[in-house]
Amino acid sequence: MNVPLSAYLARIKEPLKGLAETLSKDFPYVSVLSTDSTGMLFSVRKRAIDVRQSNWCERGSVIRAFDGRRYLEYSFNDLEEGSLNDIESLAGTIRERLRTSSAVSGRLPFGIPELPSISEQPLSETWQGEVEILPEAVQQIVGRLSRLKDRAFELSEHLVEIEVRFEHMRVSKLFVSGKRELEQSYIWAQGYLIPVLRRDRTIREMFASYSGLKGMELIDEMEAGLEETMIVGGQLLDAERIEPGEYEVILSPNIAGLLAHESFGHGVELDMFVKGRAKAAEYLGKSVASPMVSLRDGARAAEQTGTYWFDDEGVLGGDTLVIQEGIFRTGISDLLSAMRLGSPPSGNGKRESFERKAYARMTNTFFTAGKDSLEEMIASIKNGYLLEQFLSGMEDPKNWGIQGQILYAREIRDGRLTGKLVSPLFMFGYVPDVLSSVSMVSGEVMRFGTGMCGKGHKEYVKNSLGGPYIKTVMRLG
Amino acid sequence: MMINRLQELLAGIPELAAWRFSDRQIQGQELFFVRREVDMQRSKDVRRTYLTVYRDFQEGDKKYRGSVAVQIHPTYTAAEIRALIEQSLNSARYVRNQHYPLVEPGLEVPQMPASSFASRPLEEWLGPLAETIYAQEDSEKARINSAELFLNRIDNRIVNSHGLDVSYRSYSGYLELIVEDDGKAGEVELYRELSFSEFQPEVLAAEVRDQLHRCRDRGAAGATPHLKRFPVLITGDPVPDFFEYYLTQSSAQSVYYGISTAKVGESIQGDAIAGDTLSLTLEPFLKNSPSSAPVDVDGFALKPTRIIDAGKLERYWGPVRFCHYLDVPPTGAIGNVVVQPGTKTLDELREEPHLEVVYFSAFVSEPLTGDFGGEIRLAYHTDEDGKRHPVTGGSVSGNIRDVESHLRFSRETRSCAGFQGPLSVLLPEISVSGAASTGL
Repeated sequence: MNVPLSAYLARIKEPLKGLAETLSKDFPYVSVLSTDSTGMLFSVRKRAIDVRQSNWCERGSVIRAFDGRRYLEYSFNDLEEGSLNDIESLAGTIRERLRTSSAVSGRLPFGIPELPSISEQPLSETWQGEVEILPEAVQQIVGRLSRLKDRAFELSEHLVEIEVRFEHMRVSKLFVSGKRELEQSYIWAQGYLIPVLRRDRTIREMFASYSGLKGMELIDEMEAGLEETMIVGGQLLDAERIEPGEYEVILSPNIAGLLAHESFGHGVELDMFVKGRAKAAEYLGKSVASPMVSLRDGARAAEQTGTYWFDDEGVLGGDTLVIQEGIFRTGISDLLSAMRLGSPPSGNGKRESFERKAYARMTNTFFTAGKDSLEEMIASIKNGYLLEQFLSGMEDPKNWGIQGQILYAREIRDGRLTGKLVSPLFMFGYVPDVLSSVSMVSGEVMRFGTGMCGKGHKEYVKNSLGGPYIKTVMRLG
Repeated sequence: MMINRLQELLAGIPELAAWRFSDRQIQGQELFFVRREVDMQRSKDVRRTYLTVYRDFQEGDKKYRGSVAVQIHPTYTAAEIRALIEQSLNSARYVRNQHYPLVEPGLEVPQMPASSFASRPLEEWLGPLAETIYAQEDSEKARINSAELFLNRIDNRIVNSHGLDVSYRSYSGYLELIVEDDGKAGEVELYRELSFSEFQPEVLAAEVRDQLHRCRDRGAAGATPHLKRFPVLITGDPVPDFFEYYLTQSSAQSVYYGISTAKVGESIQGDAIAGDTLSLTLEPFLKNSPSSAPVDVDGFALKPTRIIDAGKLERYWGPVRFCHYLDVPPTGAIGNVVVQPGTKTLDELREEPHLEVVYFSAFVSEPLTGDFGGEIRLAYHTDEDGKRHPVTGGSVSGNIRDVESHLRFSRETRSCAGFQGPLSVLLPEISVSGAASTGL
């Protein structure tokens, strides 16, 4: 089923084109990105239900203008009724805001980087995503989530609380500039099962997540995953702390994705190269990983929550081979960083919303498949762990450290899973050491698109990560 | 205009038991620096209006209140708003929550203290702020790599169908600052974020100087030794995160959900406290805190409230809904936390061998389980000889419940976004994994 386009964006398209054209008389380059993204979040707990619009909802516009020396932006959403009928007046207000900004930075005792005006190839396109079932029936959604919650309590006597959450978003965006007119509309959904179990003084929280460019069909996956989630949740009550040290590890596809994301995801965002914050800049064309390792990123490299047709700067989404058989080939970029570095933009310019600046951001980031099997990997380890389910991670692009918070790991002794779990734990490592130590890679790639990714501790955007099972060496603590 | 239009549209809908909306008009100015160049300047004028509609229903003797919260964008037409209200009310019939009251008007709302930013147009503060930040660079060695500066003026209004109507103005400043140092083994950097709501150049300057100084230390740092179990002092930014555990355990919402078993009148800090006892107060207003507000999101008037006194839970805290469920007086959701400092000075806490961590990659504190930890970006290791060495790498991890009866809080305090309390917390022996390999 095709995802419908935004009626609001259709309504304002012509006025926005007029606005861009009017402002172009004063600014060599002008673009407008307008958004109209809607969605709902449903959360069912033991004693409470929450239904509200998703925090990812937005409707507004951002103007980007080049005044001949510098790039300026103005974000707004509070258009007076009828203001789009008087483009000259609206353009006058925006022109004043942009000029005020220009005057303020002009008075500051700081320099301005020399940048040319953006040059674009003409393009006019509309894209619509597809889902099996549009997520519209509130009664059905709340009913299915409530039954999942009830079933969870049947499955465990130790369950004290569970949150069953389902969220869907229809993302609609319109980009207009002198040469481009792009429109897209697609749906992503994500779901969570978060049971809390207690036995005596021990309390544990389990976490399972589901995502994709999907509609109601995602709830089918949640239903299928509940039993395994509750089993592992019960096992967590017996989990112990890990003895800190360096171990042979197998990263599950989920954890491999975290490694991809934090190492050569954040580490190759080219705005970090502009700032001189990325150690990877010294390694272009050089070996950074085992020859078994290849890594891709791209809005069109996979179908997950990082997918789109054009980015927030009007550049078409791409498919970038970041690491090819251990060699670092290229980074991912927003438009302005690409201009500063003299490289083609890769379609990775993303904003948290129309209110925020565009940065170089990841889309769908993943290690590609190898030829080994998980069974062979486990059999090859004398004393190590299979790491499962990350909770969070942190990048360190300058110094190539990596930190990951892991919910649990399965113990491997003498080539076999012992059935013992350790939880929670942290994984740490120096990126080149971890990637160079990769010695086995499995044949199937899985991708995960729940949660959100920050740049530092802000600018949260959707993306996905993933990979196959990967055997390497890491410090755990 | 928007508010009046909404009120008109909400009037006379029979299924609508109640409604509440919160409206935030935000004017923002933003500057982005790469070294000493202005990479971009942005501004914004945006409005965020959230409407919650309530629908009451009864099954047997049980009364329920279903609600749905939606954002009303300023560009919605009247027809779009009407359709959204209708959909929301229809959806609310499936939200079977125990009934609870809305905030009633009449409580005395405290006055929001005026910010120093109110004295000039917003854009005129960017220069003084940026110049204060960059004036702290005192050497070519440790320097500012990049900075992002945000300053917002926010006009807040909360209105409900019971006649409540509260307005106040707040300011929110934010700095993301990355500094770098040549380092003995190559360039290193330190990332930091600071929030503020006042123009306090001396405070801002001190924070930037401290970060530059710490970055020089990171550049000279050696590898963290594998200390196994060792006393750890956490200092500065991670400290507020550490206390999040106690906020979660004492919240009415956690108790109602069954994920906290904390009981009023009992110790919340374990048995037989041998260290400093925890005393924690929630404060509506804290100087230079963007979390300060006279009312919470429901419009409930806030006042200073002691939650934990000498390790004992005095009362639960939370918004009207969850306090009503527990049949305890509401406190509202208060944004600032004040923790009473300890009895020993920082120098006294540093007397014995310890590891003092001042920067983590990301300090993680799980408020439900009490698990905490993180990778060390900069720490100081004081060895048996009393020598203090900067170290980097490695990690610490532990669980608050294992250490809470032996915590020590510094007498020195620090204020930062939403928090005022001890500068440092000394944890008895916890797990410290070294930066070097520890052997397969």
